[in-house]
Amino acid sequence: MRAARWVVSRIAGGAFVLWAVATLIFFALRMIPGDPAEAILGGPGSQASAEALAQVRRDYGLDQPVIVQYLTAMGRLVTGDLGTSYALKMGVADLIGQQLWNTLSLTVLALVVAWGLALALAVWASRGGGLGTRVGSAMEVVAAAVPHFWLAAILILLFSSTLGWLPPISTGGPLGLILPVVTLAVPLAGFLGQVMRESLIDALEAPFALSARARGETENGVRWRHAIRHAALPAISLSGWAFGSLLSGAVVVETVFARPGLGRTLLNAVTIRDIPVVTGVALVSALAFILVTIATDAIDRIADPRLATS
Amino acid sequence: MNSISHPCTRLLDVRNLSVGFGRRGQQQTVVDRVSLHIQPGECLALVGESGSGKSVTARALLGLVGNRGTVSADRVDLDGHSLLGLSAGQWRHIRGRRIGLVLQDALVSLDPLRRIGLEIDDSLRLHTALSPVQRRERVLELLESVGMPEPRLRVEQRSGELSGGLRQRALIASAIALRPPLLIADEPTTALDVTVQAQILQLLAHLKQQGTAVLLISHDLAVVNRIADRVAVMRGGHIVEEGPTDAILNLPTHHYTRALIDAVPAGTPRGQLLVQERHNTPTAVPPPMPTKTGAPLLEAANLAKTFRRPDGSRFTAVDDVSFHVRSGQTLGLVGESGSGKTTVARLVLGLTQPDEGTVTLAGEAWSRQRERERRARRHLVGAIYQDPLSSFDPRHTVGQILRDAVGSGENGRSREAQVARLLDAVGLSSGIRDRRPLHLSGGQRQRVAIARAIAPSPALIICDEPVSALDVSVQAQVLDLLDELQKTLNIGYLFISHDLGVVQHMSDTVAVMQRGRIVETGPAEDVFRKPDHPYTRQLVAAAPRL
Repeated sequence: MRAARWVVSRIAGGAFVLWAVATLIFFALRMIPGDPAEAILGGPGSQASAEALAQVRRDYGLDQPVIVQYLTAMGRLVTGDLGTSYALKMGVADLIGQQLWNTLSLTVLALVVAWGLALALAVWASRGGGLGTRVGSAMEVVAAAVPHFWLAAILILLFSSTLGWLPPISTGGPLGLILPVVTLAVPLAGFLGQVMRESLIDALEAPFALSARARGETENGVRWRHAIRHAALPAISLSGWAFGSLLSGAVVVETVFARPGLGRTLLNAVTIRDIPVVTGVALVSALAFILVTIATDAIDRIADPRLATS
Repeated sequence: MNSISHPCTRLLDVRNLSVGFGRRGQQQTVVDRVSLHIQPGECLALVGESGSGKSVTARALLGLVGNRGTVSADRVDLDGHSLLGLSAGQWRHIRGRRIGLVLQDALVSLDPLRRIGLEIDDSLRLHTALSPVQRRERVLELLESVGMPEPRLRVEQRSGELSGGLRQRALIASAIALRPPLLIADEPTTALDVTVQAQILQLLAHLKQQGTAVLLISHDLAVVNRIADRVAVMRGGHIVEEGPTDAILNLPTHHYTRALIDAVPAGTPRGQLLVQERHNTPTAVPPPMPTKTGAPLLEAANLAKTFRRPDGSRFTAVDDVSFHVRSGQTLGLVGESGSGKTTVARLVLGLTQPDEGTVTLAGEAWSRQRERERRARRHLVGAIYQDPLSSFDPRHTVGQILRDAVGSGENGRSREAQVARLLDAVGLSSGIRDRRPLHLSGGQRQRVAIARAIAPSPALIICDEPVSALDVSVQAQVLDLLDELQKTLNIGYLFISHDLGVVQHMSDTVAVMQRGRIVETGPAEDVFRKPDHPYTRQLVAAAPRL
């Protein structure tokens, strides 16, 4: 009952955030200097005639008062209509639909790999005593500080140009996915690893760990049966945020590896001022971010029952 | 029957146990040549202040001092088998099966993320070949044996969902799951209410009767008096005195044991100092404002406060509570956790508005005022809390904390002088000025909290469990300080505590709270000698004393 109420309230909250994002984008785009009708006809360089511009304004409803334009846009959104791309003259929803899977598979895989790396790093560092902690924390800081484009370049140089093991650009196969995933996962793993290592070490020294040892539990038992869950809690809470950072990281990574996806679509659309596509990608990203945040909060409540009862 | 075939009946026999920490060469010895022994069915209490090495001794007996510690001994025998030089696997065979450990505060000593049933089950899973179904039956039996009501329901709950007493029972159940012949209980009742403490001590006494040897570790001689057969007093890593409980408590030979006994406030009359040597006389702080003649300093009339629970139902925290405090006098407010004591403190401090009733300060209305109108008189009421660490800004030094408390009205130099006077008044050296709260001992922190409370010359101080987190000997010093300050500054105290001994020693009048109501009130002497209300009688009977 309590869980159901929680889910409903979270979905309502998510809907509100989505509306706020859509409204913010709508008005922010109105502040960009330049005539949208010109952008539709190919930008200021296209020397469009006055009649053509007037025609476009009528077709796109740009001659209407702002409030009417806003309500029309919101009404369309509710029905799932994201408009038509200025440049590609195709539905934005279809365009995003084609690219969504590419980006989602990249970011979700990166999140999973980052978790695995972070966990391994945290456990390894907690085992190694003082030296392990120092080496582990140094590795985490370096990993967390590396920028995506630099890491991507180094990985291509090493694994494609020198060793020739992996393709430098995404070919669509699973091999082509490895370098982009690693590029996205490593900085995040450094960040998550720091959080996990600290809470893991705290948990291993907590009174309940002493109780467990005094019961005859092995060190591995204390680590995996007790401490790891405490260590995972803050990292789970951070994962919603982490997913958002992966989405923005995807813009760089998809460009560097010439990989089709939302990030690259967004970059192209921004360059040519294809406003419906920018809006659509932003909204879909916001939706994905909201869903992932709700999911991580739900996992948090399962992992830490104290949250659900308090 | 192994223990009987052994020449002497000692279950545990320790000779010259030493534990050191740190690198070779610059080792710090924490436990220094400690010898002790326990027989089956006997309780030996290891008593001392925090830092005396008693918990490290206990951990050494379980092989759990950690990588940085080095343990040496002439002999550590359990049941005739040596515990020296065991491998990790052999130690695991001992832990839980031969020696059980019960720690303080089961909220964190049981894994807060796991059901208590699973925590108890772990002991069985690690050491027996029972099937999961058999183990579950055994877990329920164990919970029943430690007096857990509704074990089938409780087994599914986590430590945070249980009251302090119930989760301590669960922790004990997990420690005795395999009926270990030796049980080490490290401050097992610290932080518990008196009646709950009495129940837990009874449970330990019951285990003792069944033949379990108990090594009880405590800083509180009054607790120890309830179940220990023998007492060993530890200080600075040494055992300074050891003998039968009666002999130690009645005829202590070591001056430290004497000091520990004197520090127990229960039974020491009001106004008599608990620590014999005096440090200084606080005089330099100006006396508080005189109150309107005749009116008591603080008057609370028919206070009531209800709160909304998360599920929407209402819960009455304070119900028709009336009392008054006079200048230079102490009203002790006793009750167990959840009885509404702290809500009363918040109402008196004006931090919470009462639903009904009024608070009058020095004859003028105090509750139901706008904060703006109250601010000019705020300095009249001070507060001291149980945990001063969380009431200090951790980034501020002691000097900054006290300068803030002195107020902005003074210029820089007179503020500095005022800070120096405050430190002197609470018996702290001026060298402490540049330290941060985290780097102070518990007693020093509470002294700083007191200095902060008296800085604006209050007429009334609300002391909410001011010594509950302190060792008995430090507690005695802080109580003495509060006593002296009251005499010189004529401050009224509203003294809130769950510890009857402390309240009895500090109070002129006492009010006993139960479920939001004051069930008995009167002069401290009378209430404690001839308690009227059944609840007060129960509390007085449960309170450990010497």
